[in-house]
Amino acid sequence: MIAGLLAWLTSGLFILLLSYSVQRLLRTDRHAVDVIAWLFLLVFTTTLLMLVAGLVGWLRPAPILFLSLAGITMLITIGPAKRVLTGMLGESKALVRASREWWVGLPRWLRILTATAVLLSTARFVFLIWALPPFVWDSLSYHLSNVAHWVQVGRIETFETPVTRIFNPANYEVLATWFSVFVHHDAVIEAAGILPYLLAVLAVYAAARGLGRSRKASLLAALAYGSTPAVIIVATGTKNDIHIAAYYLAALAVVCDLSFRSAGSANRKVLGQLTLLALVLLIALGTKTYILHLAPGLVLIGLLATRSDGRRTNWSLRLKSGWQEFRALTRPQRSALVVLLISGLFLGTFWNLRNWVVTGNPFYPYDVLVAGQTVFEGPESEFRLSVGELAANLESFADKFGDWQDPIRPDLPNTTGWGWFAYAIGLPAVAWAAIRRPRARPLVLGFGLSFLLLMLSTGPSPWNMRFAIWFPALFSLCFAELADGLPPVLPRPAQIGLAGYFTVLLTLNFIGTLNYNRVSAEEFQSMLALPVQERHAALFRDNMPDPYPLANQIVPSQVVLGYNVFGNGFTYPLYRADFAQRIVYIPFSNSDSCEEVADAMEARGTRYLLVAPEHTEDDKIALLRACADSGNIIQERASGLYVVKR
Amino acid sequence: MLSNDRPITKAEAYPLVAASILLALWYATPQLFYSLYSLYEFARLLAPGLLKSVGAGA
Repeated sequence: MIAGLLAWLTSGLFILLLSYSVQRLLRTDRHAVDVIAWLFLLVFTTTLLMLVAGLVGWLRPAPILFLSLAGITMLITIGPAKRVLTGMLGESKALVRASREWWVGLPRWLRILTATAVLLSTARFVFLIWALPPFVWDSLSYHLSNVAHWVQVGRIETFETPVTRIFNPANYEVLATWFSVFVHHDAVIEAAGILPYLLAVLAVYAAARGLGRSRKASLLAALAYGSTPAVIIVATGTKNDIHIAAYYLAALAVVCDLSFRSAGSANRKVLGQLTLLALVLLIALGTKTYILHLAPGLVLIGLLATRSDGRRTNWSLRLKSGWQEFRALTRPQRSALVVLLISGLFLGTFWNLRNWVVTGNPFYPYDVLVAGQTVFEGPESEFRLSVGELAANLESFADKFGDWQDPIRPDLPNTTGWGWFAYAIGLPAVAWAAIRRPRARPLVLGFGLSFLLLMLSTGPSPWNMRFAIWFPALFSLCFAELADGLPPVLPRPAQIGLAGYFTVLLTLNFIGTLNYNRVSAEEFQSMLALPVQERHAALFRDNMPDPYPLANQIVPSQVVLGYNVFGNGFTYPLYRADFAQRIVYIPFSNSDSCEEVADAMEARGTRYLLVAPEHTEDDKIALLRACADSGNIIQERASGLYVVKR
Repeated sequence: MLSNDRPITKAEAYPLVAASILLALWYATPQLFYSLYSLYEFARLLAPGLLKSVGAGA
């Protein structure tokens, strides 16, 4: 364990130094963009390091420690990187000084609110990560099953399972691996969403600054977005939606800065921003393909945006400036930038290329239809642009609007998850900004286009608003316009009233997320009664069918556990929190005989077979029950857990 | 606020405040209960035995 922690710390140091060195290449004349570039690069380099280690079969603490030490040695010995790192201390001091100036320039009440929000949010995140194992459906079905398998075998690879969505682009899962491979445990795996959460919140701040908003209004916007229930809840939900939101908003921040801001244009550095934009969109592509549906909204914002002088941005001029900046770089800098872009391409395309090679379909497991013709076949239903989908989705959205049907929970069932601020202040702010501030209209249209394209293409379901948790940023950005539009001198009662109202709405947003609006005190207590290392996902009874905890208690972790679930069933809880349990898929059909099922189990090296209601087809469960009732080849050891006896 | 932006006038401010309060009241049903339920469960966790369960299984 100590060796694992040391390797983890060393790897963290390498990622920190590497990100810092790379970030120097992407520097702009805007601090807010530089900060999001640095946060983003932490995610980017971690994902890249883990993907490379995983593909060469080095997904273990010792090889990663070796890679990290080699990387650190290289960084502190090669000339350009060495020069960058030696300037790190001086830059850190300057950063602290600038942050202090920024902080004291804020109104006192806003400083108190910000400090309180940071403290309470940190406490909430730490407590929930520490107390609960992963429990959100899709993560137990496929996201974390990838992580568990990779950590078990020390390599990133595909494996036999009925859950074909393990083939989905998996940059998030690769990042999550960094949070579990060193200690061979999932105790803090939920923390993989914290950095993207911060990136998303700070991207809202940077976007507001790019729009020309004051620091105070931009911070209010960032706090409001950061308090959105759907965003807070999803951050530790062990799924990739917070990552896509962070990448969409980081790209938005760059687009806003490039297209709305005219101040400082003489000295501005475009190359770093264009590179950042490309990297953000590429990593998003390797995280979830639906970034393709959202990106046209960003393009629209960039095309329609007008600067304070009323002119539109000339993008060909921007690209030309970027090219000139590239040519002015030194040779090592140019090489580093090219390597960076190639790395981005690798992270953006690896999963689809792998699927193409392995299955013949880059978008496996999904069908791809073009003009009604099937171009690629897959076992899952296809995604396509369809007016029928749009109508069904908009109807479903109308039902979800206002969050009337259900509490806001991690999967966002039947809700938007936008929360108090968005509905009470955000909606009027958007309406006001669209009418009174022409420069806000491209934002409204761009967000609207991204949302419509999403609704055109995603399958109608009660849970699909989790794909749109970037949308409430529109409310925050329009609110920043409103906040800056207030008269410079307001009567004191009005100041107190507005600040109090804002604070109350954010507080209501926050308190609704304390237990994911779902976990009872008894469920918390049942987990807290266990040592951290024994808080297995299978033992968290919130949504876990009986066979899972029974298998956890009965089947020794040294033997192989067989399972049969359908394409959306849970597999992750079977691995145990320390990934000690080997598991194997036992395919059989309801027309098989009991002997054939037993043969299939033994052929795959196991005596145990788990099936579970709502996770396994009923006729298969019925077959196993009949086997257990009628013969002595297969016996029911516990509910849903069968054993071969012969 | 940029130099050519006009500050919000009273004629704009009052309808905005009224709309905001009405929307907050509309949203409060039933989200206020859900928010308070979350806080209540958290209080039950901090002070076990003092407060009764109000969940579906209670």
